[in-house]
Amino acid sequence: MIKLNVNGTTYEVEVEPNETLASVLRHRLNFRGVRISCEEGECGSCTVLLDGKPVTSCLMLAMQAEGKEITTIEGLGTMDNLHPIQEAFIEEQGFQCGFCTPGIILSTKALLEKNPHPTPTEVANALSGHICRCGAYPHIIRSVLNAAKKLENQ
Amino acid sequence: MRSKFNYLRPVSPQEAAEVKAKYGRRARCLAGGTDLMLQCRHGIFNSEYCLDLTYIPELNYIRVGSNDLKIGPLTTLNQLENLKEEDSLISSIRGTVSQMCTPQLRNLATIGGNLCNASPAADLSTLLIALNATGKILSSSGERSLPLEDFFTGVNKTALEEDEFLSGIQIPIPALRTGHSFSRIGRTVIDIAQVNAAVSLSVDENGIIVDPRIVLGAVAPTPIRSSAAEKALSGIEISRVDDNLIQEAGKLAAADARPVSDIRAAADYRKYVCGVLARRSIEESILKLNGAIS
Repeated sequence: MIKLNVNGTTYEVEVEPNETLASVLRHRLNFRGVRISCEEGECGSCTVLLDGKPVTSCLMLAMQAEGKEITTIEGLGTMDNLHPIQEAFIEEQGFQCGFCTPGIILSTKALLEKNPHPTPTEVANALSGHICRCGAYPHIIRSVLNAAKKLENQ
Repeated sequence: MRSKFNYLRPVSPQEAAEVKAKYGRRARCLAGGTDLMLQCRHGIFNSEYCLDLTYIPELNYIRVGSNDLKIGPLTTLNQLENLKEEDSLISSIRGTVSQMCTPQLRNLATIGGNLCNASPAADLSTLLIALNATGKILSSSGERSLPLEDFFTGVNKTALEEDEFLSGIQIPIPALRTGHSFSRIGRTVIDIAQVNAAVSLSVDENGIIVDPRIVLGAVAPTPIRSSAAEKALSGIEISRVDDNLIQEAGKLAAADARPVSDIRAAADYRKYVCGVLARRSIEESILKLNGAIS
Protein backbone atom coordinates (compact mmCIF):
# COMPACT_ATOMS: atom_id res chain seq x y z
CA MET A 1 0.00 0.00 0.00
CA ILE A 2 1.39 3.39 -0.96
CA LYS A 3 0.04 6.93 -0.77
CA LEU A 4 -0.17 8.98 -3.94
CA ASN A 5 -1.10 12.64 -4.04
CA VAL A 6 -3.02 13.19 -7.26
CA ASN A 7 -4.58 16.56 -8.09
CA GLY A 8 -4.50 17.57 -4.42
CA THR A 9 -6.13 14.41 -3.06
CA THR A 10 -4.26 11.61 -1.30
CA TYR A 11 -5.09 8.09 -2.44
CA GLU A 12 -4.05 4.90 -0.69
CA VAL A 13 -3.48 2.29 -3.32
CA GLU A 14 -2.13 -1.23 -3.51
CA VAL A 15 0.57 -1.50 -6.20
CA GLU A 16 2.99 -4.10 -7.50
CA PRO A 17 6.67 -3.11 -7.10
CA ASN A 18 7.16 -3.24 -10.88
CA GLU A 19 4.06 -1.26 -11.77
CA THR A 20 4.45 2.02 -13.64
CA LEU A 21 2.95 5.27 -12.44
CA ALA A 22 0.98 5.46 -15.72
CA SER A 23 -0.63 2.08 -15.11
CA VAL A 24 -1.55 2.86 -11.51
CA LEU A 25 -3.06 6.24 -12.41
CA ARG A 26 -5.08 4.90 -15.31
CA HIS A 27 -6.05 1.38 -14.26
CA ARG A 28 -6.16 1.51 -10.47
CA LEU A 29 -7.17 5.13 -9.81
CA ASN A 30 -9.18 5.56 -13.01
CA PHE A 31 -7.58 8.78 -14.26
CA ARG A 32 -8.46 8.06 -17.87
CA GLY A 33 -6.80 11.25 -19.09
CA VAL A 34 -3.49 9.43 -18.58
CA ARG A 35 -3.07 7.75 -21.95
CA ILE A 36 -0.89 4.68 -22.33
CA SER A 37 0.48 4.17 -25.80
CA CYS A 38 4.13 3.40 -26.61
CA GLU A 39 5.22 2.67 -23.02
CA GLU A 40 8.76 3.55 -24.06
CA GLY A 41 8.89 7.27 -23.30
CA GLU A 42 8.76 8.20 -26.97
CA CYS A 43 5.20 9.40 -27.58
CA GLY A 44 4.47 11.57 -24.53
CA SER A 45 0.80 10.61 -24.24
CA CYS A 46 1.23 9.43 -20.62
CA THR A 47 2.73 12.77 -19.56
CA VAL A 48 1.75 13.99 -16.09
CA LEU A 49 3.23 16.72 -13.93
CA LEU A 50 5.39 15.57 -11.04
CA ASP A 51 6.00 18.46 -8.65
CA GLY A 52 5.07 20.72 -11.56
CA LYS A 53 7.44 19.17 -14.10
CA PRO A 54 6.27 17.06 -17.04
CA VAL A 55 7.41 13.42 -16.95
CA THR A 56 6.55 10.31 -18.93
CA SER A 57 4.66 8.34 -16.30
CA CYS A 58 5.20 5.10 -18.26
CA LEU A 59 8.94 5.17 -17.51
CA MET A 60 8.77 5.45 -13.76
CA LEU A 61 7.58 3.22 -10.97
CA ALA A 62 4.47 4.25 -9.06
CA MET A 63 6.70 3.77 -5.97
CA GLN A 64 8.89 6.64 -7.16
CA ALA A 65 5.95 9.08 -7.07
CA GLU A 66 5.29 8.63 -3.37
CA GLY A 67 5.55 11.97 -1.58
CA LYS A 68 5.36 13.95 -4.84
CA GLU A 69 2.53 16.09 -6.17
CA ILE A 70 1.04 14.50 -9.26
CA THR A 71 -1.14 16.51 -11.65
CA THR A 72 -3.16 14.84 -14.38
CA ILE A 73 -5.45 16.54 -16.89
CA GLU A 74 -8.34 15.86 -14.50
CA GLY A 75 -6.67 18.32 -12.12
CA LEU A 76 -6.86 21.25 -14.54
CA GLY A 77 -10.43 22.09 -15.46
CA THR A 78 -13.88 20.55 -15.41
CA MET A 79 -16.40 20.24 -18.26
CA ASP A 80 -18.25 23.28 -16.89
CA ASN A 81 -15.20 25.26 -15.99
CA LEU A 82 -12.36 24.70 -18.43
CA HIS A 83 -8.81 25.80 -17.76
CA PRO A 84 -7.71 28.69 -20.03
CA ILE A 85 -5.23 26.37 -21.77
CA GLN A 86 -8.07 23.94 -22.54
CA GLU A 87 -10.19 26.82 -23.90
CA ALA A 88 -7.30 27.93 -26.08
CA PHE A 89 -6.90 24.41 -27.54
CA ILE A 90 -10.61 24.33 -28.41
CA GLU A 91 -10.56 27.81 -29.96
CA GLU A 92 -7.51 27.07 -32.11
CA GLN A 93 -8.52 23.46 -32.83
CA GLY A 94 -5.24 22.26 -31.36
CA PHE A 95 -6.21 18.59 -31.80
CA GLN A 96 -8.19 16.21 -33.94
CA CYS A 97 -8.69 12.85 -32.24
CA GLY A 98 -7.57 14.18 -28.84
CA PHE A 99 -5.52 11.17 -27.77
CA CYS A 100 -2.27 13.10 -27.25
CA THR A 101 -4.00 16.25 -25.98
CA PRO A 102 -3.97 15.69 -22.17
CA GLY A 103 -0.19 15.25 -22.18
CA ILE A 104 0.36 18.21 -24.45
CA ILE A 105 -1.81 20.46 -22.30
CA LEU A 106 0.13 19.45 -19.18
CA SER A 107 3.47 20.17 -20.88
CA THR A 108 1.99 23.51 -21.98
CA LYS A 109 1.06 24.32 -18.39
CA ALA A 110 4.61 23.63 -17.21
CA LEU A 111 6.05 25.67 -20.08
CA LEU A 112 3.86 28.73 -19.51
CA GLU A 113 4.57 28.74 -15.78
CA LYS A 114 8.28 28.91 -16.51
CA ASN A 115 8.11 31.02 -19.65
CA PRO A 116 4.83 33.01 -19.93
CA HIS A 117 5.71 34.47 -23.36
CA PRO A 118 7.31 31.71 -25.44
CA THR A 119 8.26 32.04 -29.09
CA PRO A 120 6.88 29.44 -31.53
CA THR A 121 10.31 27.77 -31.50
CA GLU A 122 10.33 27.61 -27.72
CA VAL A 123 6.86 26.05 -27.83
CA ALA A 124 8.04 23.46 -30.36
CA ASN A 125 11.06 22.61 -28.19
CA ALA A 126 8.95 22.31 -25.05
CA LEU A 127 6.54 19.97 -26.85
CA SER A 128 9.22 17.96 -28.67
CA GLY A 129 8.47 14.97 -26.45
CA HIS A 130 4.92 14.63 -27.77
CA ILE A 131 3.78 12.88 -30.91
CA CYS A 132 0.47 13.87 -32.53
CA ARG A 133 -0.42 11.26 -35.11
CA CYS A 134 -3.17 13.51 -36.53
CA GLY A 135 -0.41 16.00 -37.32
CA ALA A 136 -2.13 18.96 -35.69
CA TYR A 137 1.24 20.54 -34.83
CA PRO A 138 0.70 24.03 -36.37
CA HIS A 139 -2.63 24.32 -34.55
CA ILE A 140 -1.08 23.06 -31.32
CA ILE A 141 1.57 25.78 -31.45
CA ARG A 142 -1.11 28.41 -32.12
CA SER A 143 -3.14 27.03 -29.20
CA VAL A 144 -0.19 27.42 -26.84
CA LEU A 145 0.44 31.00 -28.00
CA ASN A 146 -3.27 31.74 -27.52
CA ALA A 147 -3.17 30.16 -24.06
CA ALA A 148 -0.24 32.41 -23.14
CA LYS A 149 -2.36 35.45 -24.03
CA LYS A 150 -5.36 34.17 -22.08
CA LEU A 151 -3.27 33.53 -18.97
CA GLU A 152 -1.68 36.97 -19.26
CA ASN A 153 -5.09 38.66 -19.41
CA GLN A 154 -6.44 36.77 -16.44
CA MET B 1 5.86 -10.08 -19.46
CA ARG B 2 7.16 -7.32 -17.18
CA SER B 3 10.14 -8.24 -15.06
CA LYS B 4 9.36 -8.79 -11.40
CA PHE B 5 11.51 -7.61 -8.52
CA ASN B 6 11.46 -6.55 -4.90
CA TYR B 7 11.60 -2.83 -4.30
CA LEU B 8 14.05 -1.34 -1.82
CA ARG B 9 14.26 2.31 -0.87
CA PRO B 10 17.42 3.30 1.02
CA VAL B 11 17.40 6.86 2.38
CA SER B 12 21.14 7.43 2.74
CA PRO B 13 24.24 6.54 0.67
CA GLN B 14 25.44 4.39 3.61
CA GLU B 15 22.22 2.41 3.64
CA ALA B 16 22.45 1.91 -0.14
CA ALA B 17 26.04 0.68 0.31
CA GLU B 18 24.91 -1.79 2.97
CA VAL B 19 22.21 -3.16 0.68
CA LYS B 20 24.76 -3.52 -2.13
CA ALA B 21 27.15 -5.27 0.27
CA LYS B 22 24.39 -7.71 1.22
CA TYR B 23 22.93 -8.44 -2.22
CA GLY B 24 25.70 -7.60 -4.72
CA ARG B 25 24.55 -8.19 -8.29
CA ARG B 26 21.16 -9.38 -7.09
CA ALA B 27 20.32 -5.71 -6.46
CA ARG B 28 20.37 -3.17 -9.26
CA CYS B 29 20.35 0.57 -8.70
CA LEU B 30 17.47 2.61 -10.09
CA ALA B 31 18.18 6.29 -10.73
CA GLY B 32 15.95 8.07 -13.27
CA GLY B 33 14.77 4.69 -14.53
CA THR B 34 14.43 5.72 -18.16
CA ASP B 35 16.70 2.88 -19.28
CA LEU B 36 15.82 0.35 -16.56
CA MET B 37 12.07 0.72 -17.06
CA LEU B 38 12.50 -0.24 -20.71
CA GLN B 39 14.35 -3.38 -19.64
CA CYS B 40 11.60 -4.07 -17.13
CA ARG B 41 8.93 -3.68 -19.82
CA HIS B 42 10.74 -6.09 -22.11
CA GLY B 43 11.20 -8.60 -19.29
CA ILE B 44 15.00 -8.40 -19.32
CA PHE B 45 15.52 -6.70 -15.95
CA ASN B 46 16.76 -9.82 -14.22
CA SER B 47 17.77 -8.68 -10.75
CA GLU B 48 15.89 -9.78 -7.67
CA TYR B 49 16.02 -6.36 -6.04
CA CYS B 50 15.48 -2.91 -7.43
CA LEU B 51 17.38 -0.39 -5.33
CA ASP B 52 15.64 2.98 -5.75
CA LEU B 53 18.22 5.73 -5.15
CA THR B 54 15.80 8.59 -5.84
CA TYR B 55 14.95 9.09 -2.18
CA ILE B 56 18.56 9.85 -1.21
CA PRO B 57 18.92 13.65 -1.19
CA GLU B 58 22.70 13.40 -0.60
CA LEU B 59 23.10 11.97 -4.10
CA ASN B 60 21.45 14.95 -5.78
CA TYR B 61 23.60 18.10 -5.81
CA ILE B 62 25.54 20.46 -8.03
CA ARG B 63 28.45 22.25 -6.36
CA VAL B 64 30.38 24.79 -8.36
CA GLY B 65 33.74 25.26 -6.65
CA SER B 66 36.83 27.22 -7.64
CA ASN B 67 38.79 24.11 -8.67
CA ASP B 68 36.08 21.72 -9.68
CA LEU B 69 32.45 21.08 -10.37
CA LYS B 70 30.87 18.31 -8.30
CA ILE B 71 27.67 16.67 -9.47
CA GLY B 72 25.63 14.07 -7.61
CA PRO B 73 24.72 11.02 -9.69
CA LEU B 74 20.99 11.50 -9.08
CA THR B 75 21.06 15.02 -10.58
CA THR B 76 18.59 15.11 -13.45
CA LEU B 77 19.43 16.24 -16.96
CA ASN B 78 16.88 19.02 -16.44
CA GLN B 79 18.79 20.34 -13.41
CA LEU B 80 21.96 20.44 -15.52
CA GLU B 81 20.11 22.10 -18.37
CA ASN B 82 19.04 24.87 -15.97
CA LEU B 83 22.54 25.66 -14.70
CA LYS B 84 22.89 29.42 -14.95
CA GLU B 85 26.68 29.91 -14.84
CA GLU B 86 28.15 31.38 -18.02
CA ASP B 87 31.37 29.43 -17.78
CA SER B 88 32.68 27.51 -20.83
CA LEU B 89 32.76 24.19 -18.95
CA ILE B 90 29.20 24.52 -17.71
CA SER B 91 27.89 25.77 -21.03
CA SER B 92 29.31 22.62 -22.67
CA ILE B 93 27.39 20.47 -20.17
CA ARG B 94 24.21 22.52 -20.64
CA GLY B 95 24.60 22.40 -24.43
CA THR B 96 25.05 18.62 -24.42
CA VAL B 97 22.18 17.89 -22.07
CA SER B 98 19.75 20.09 -24.00
CA GLN B 99 20.35 17.91 -27.08
CA MET B 100 19.41 14.72 -25.22
CA CYS B 101 16.03 12.93 -25.43
CA THR B 102 12.89 14.96 -24.62
CA PRO B 103 11.86 17.51 -21.96
CA GLN B 104 9.81 14.90 -20.06
CA LEU B 105 12.67 12.39 -20.06
CA ARG B 106 15.17 15.05 -19.00
CA ASN B 107 13.04 15.57 -15.87
CA LEU B 108 13.57 11.90 -14.98
CA ALA B 109 16.90 10.81 -16.48
CA THR B 110 20.01 11.36 -14.38
CA ILE B 111 23.69 11.92 -15.08
CA GLY B 112 24.61 8.85 -13.01
CA GLY B 113 22.11 6.69 -14.84
CA ASN B 114 23.40 7.83 -18.22
CA LEU B 115 26.95 6.87 -17.18
CA CYS B 116 26.17 3.60 -15.36
CA ASN B 117 23.94 2.23 -18.12
CA ALA B 118 27.20 2.40 -20.10
CA SER B 119 25.68 2.69 -23.52
CA PRO B 120 28.47 3.26 -26.05
CA ALA B 121 26.29 6.10 -27.40
CA ALA B 122 25.66 7.88 -24.08
CA ASP B 123 26.25 11.58 -24.75
CA LEU B 124 27.41 12.43 -21.24
CA SER B 125 29.97 9.60 -21.20
CA THR B 126 31.68 11.06 -24.26
CA LEU B 127 31.52 14.64 -22.97
CA LEU B 128 32.66 13.86 -19.43
CA ILE B 129 35.68 11.87 -20.62
CA ALA B 130 36.67 14.90 -22.71
CA LEU B 131 36.24 17.06 -19.59
CA ASN B 132 38.60 14.71 -17.70
CA ALA B 133 35.93 13.86 -15.13
CA THR B 134 36.40 11.40 -12.27
CA GLY B 135 33.79 9.11 -10.77
CA LYS B 136 33.47 8.66 -7.00
CA ILE B 137 32.55 5.09 -6.21
CA LEU B 138 31.08 4.03 -2.90
CA SER B 139 30.80 0.68 -1.14
CA SER B 140 30.39 -0.34 2.47
CA SER B 141 34.19 -0.58 2.73
CA GLY B 142 34.80 3.00 1.59
CA GLU B 143 35.07 5.34 -1.35
CA ARG B 144 37.41 5.24 -4.32
CA SER B 145 37.96 7.45 -7.36
CA LEU B 146 38.27 6.37 -10.97
CA PRO B 147 38.76 8.53 -14.06
CA LEU B 148 35.66 8.11 -16.22
CA GLU B 149 38.03 7.22 -19.03
CA ASP B 150 38.61 3.91 -17.18
CA PHE B 151 35.02 3.51 -15.98
CA PHE B 152 33.60 1.86 -19.10
CA THR B 153 34.70 -1.68 -19.83
CA GLY B 154 32.28 -2.76 -22.56
CA VAL B 155 28.77 -2.40 -23.92
CA ASN B 156 26.60 -1.81 -20.82
CA LYS B 157 29.54 -2.78 -18.62
CA THR B 158 31.41 -0.67 -16.09
CA ALA B 159 34.31 -1.08 -13.68
CA LEU B 160 31.87 -1.05 -10.74
CA GLU B 161 32.30 -4.09 -8.49
CA GLU B 162 29.13 -5.84 -7.47
CA ASP B 163 29.00 -4.13 -4.07
CA GLU B 164 29.71 -0.64 -5.44
CA PHE B 165 27.73 2.22 -6.91
CA LEU B 166 28.55 5.60 -8.42
CA SER B 167 28.24 8.24 -5.69
CA GLY B 168 29.60 11.38 -7.35
CA ILE B 169 31.13 12.97 -10.41
CA GLN B 170 33.95 15.46 -10.19
CA ILE B 171 34.97 17.66 -13.11
CA PRO B 172 38.17 19.71 -12.78
CA ILE B 173 38.00 23.35 -13.83
CA PRO B 174 40.98 23.68 -16.18
CA ALA B 175 43.79 25.93 -14.97
CA LEU B 176 44.77 26.70 -18.58
CA ARG B 177 42.68 28.55 -21.18
CA THR B 178 40.39 25.85 -22.56
CA GLY B 179 37.68 25.40 -25.17
CA HIS B 180 35.15 22.55 -24.97
CA SER B 181 32.76 21.29 -27.57
CA PHE B 182 30.28 18.46 -28.08
CA SER B 183 28.48 17.37 -31.22
CA ARG B 184 26.18 14.52 -32.06
CA ILE B 185 24.18 13.16 -34.92
CA GLY B 186 21.02 11.09 -34.53
CA ARG B 187 18.14 9.91 -36.66
CA THR B 188 15.60 11.98 -34.73
CA VAL B 189 15.71 14.43 -31.84
CA ILE B 190 14.56 11.72 -29.44
CA ASP B 191 16.83 8.90 -30.54
CA ILE B 192 20.22 8.13 -29.04
CA ALA B 193 23.26 9.24 -31.02
CA GLN B 194 24.41 7.41 -34.12
CA VAL B 195 27.78 9.00 -33.41
CA ASN B 196 28.92 11.67 -30.98
CA ALA B 197 32.18 13.48 -30.32
CA ALA B 198 33.57 15.76 -27.64
CA VAL B 199 36.75 17.79 -27.62
CA SER B 200 38.62 19.70 -24.95
CA LEU B 201 41.54 21.87 -26.07
CA SER B 202 43.77 23.72 -23.60
CA VAL B 203 46.64 26.06 -24.40
CA ASP B 204 49.51 27.20 -22.18
CA GLU B 205 50.70 30.82 -21.78
CA ASN B 206 52.57 30.55 -25.11
CA GLY B 207 49.48 29.39 -26.97
CA ILE B 208 50.75 25.81 -27.29
CA ILE B 209 48.10 23.05 -27.19
CA VAL B 210 48.61 20.88 -24.11
CA ASP B 211 46.98 17.47 -23.53
CA PRO B 212 44.14 17.73 -26.08
CA ARG B 213 41.27 15.33 -25.48
CA ILE B 214 39.32 14.06 -28.47
CA VAL B 215 36.62 11.56 -27.52
CA LEU B 216 34.36 9.59 -29.85
CA GLY B 217 31.12 7.84 -28.89
CA ALA B 218 29.06 5.06 -30.47
CA VAL B 219 32.00 3.93 -32.61
CA ALA B 220 33.38 1.25 -30.25
CA PRO B 221 32.08 -0.81 -27.29
CA THR B 222 32.93 2.14 -25.03
CA PRO B 223 33.61 5.82 -25.72
CA ILE B 224 37.22 6.07 -26.95
CA ARG B 225 39.89 8.74 -27.08
CA SER B 226 41.50 9.14 -30.48
CA SER B 227 45.16 9.10 -29.55
CA ALA B 228 46.18 9.66 -33.18
CA ALA B 229 44.09 12.83 -33.54
CA GLU B 230 45.23 14.06 -30.12
CA LYS B 231 48.87 13.51 -31.08
CA ALA B 232 48.40 15.51 -34.27
CA LEU B 233 47.28 18.57 -32.28
CA SER B 234 49.48 18.22 -29.21
CA GLY B 235 52.33 20.73 -28.93
CA ILE B 236 51.10 22.83 -31.87
CA GLU B 237 50.69 26.57 -31.48
CA ILE B 238 46.97 27.26 -31.63
CA SER B 239 47.30 30.05 -34.21
CA ARG B 240 48.99 27.57 -36.58
CA VAL B 241 46.11 25.10 -36.52
CA ASP B 242 44.76 25.50 -40.03
CA ASP B 243 42.08 23.75 -42.07
CA ASN B 244 44.55 21.15 -43.35
CA LEU B 245 45.57 20.11 -39.85
CA ILE B 246 41.94 19.94 -38.67
CA GLN B 247 41.03 17.83 -41.73
CA GLU B 248 43.96 15.54 -40.95
CA ALA B 249 42.91 15.22 -37.28
CA GLY B 250 39.38 14.33 -38.41
CA LYS B 251 40.75 11.59 -40.67
CA LEU B 252 42.92 10.21 -37.87
CA ALA B 253 39.91 10.16 -35.54
CA ALA B 254 37.86 8.26 -38.13
CA ALA B 255 40.73 5.75 -38.48
CA ASP B 256 40.67 5.14 -34.71
CA ALA B 257 36.91 4.36 -34.80
CA ARG B 258 35.86 0.69 -34.66
CA PRO B 259 32.11 0.95 -35.24
CA VAL B 260 29.53 -1.75 -35.80
CA SER B 261 26.50 -1.70 -38.10
CA ASP B 262 23.13 -1.73 -36.37
CA ILE B 263 19.59 -0.45 -36.88
CA ARG B 264 20.75 3.14 -36.41
CA ALA B 265 23.65 3.31 -38.85
CA ALA B 266 26.05 1.28 -40.96
CA ALA B 267 29.64 0.96 -39.77
CA ASP B 268 31.06 2.83 -42.80
CA TYR B 269 28.67 5.69 -42.24
CA ARG B 270 29.58 5.89 -38.56
CA LYS B 271 33.30 5.90 -39.38
CA TYR B 272 32.90 8.70 -41.90
CA VAL B 273 30.61 10.84 -39.76
CA CYS B 274 32.81 10.39 -36.72
CA GLY B 275 35.66 12.08 -38.64
CA VAL B 276 33.32 14.93 -39.56
CA LEU B 277 32.10 15.39 -35.99
CA ALA B 278 35.66 15.29 -34.62
CA ARG B 279 36.63 17.99 -37.11
CA ARG B 280 33.64 20.19 -36.25
CA SER B 281 34.23 19.77 -32.53
CA ILE B 282 37.87 20.77 -32.92
CA GLU B 283 36.85 23.83 -34.94
CA GLU B 284 34.28 24.81 -32.34
CA SER B 285 36.70 24.28 -29.45
CA ILE B 286 39.20 26.60 -31.13
CA LEU B 287 36.52 29.26 -31.66
CA LYS B 288 35.53 28.98 -28.00
CA LEU B 289 39.15 29.07 -26.89
CA ASN B 290 39.63 32.29 -28.81
CA GLY B 291 36.44 33.75 -27.37
CA ALA B 292 34.88 34.00 -30.85
CA ILE B 293 31.81 32.08 -29.64
CA SER B 294 30.53 31.10 -26.22
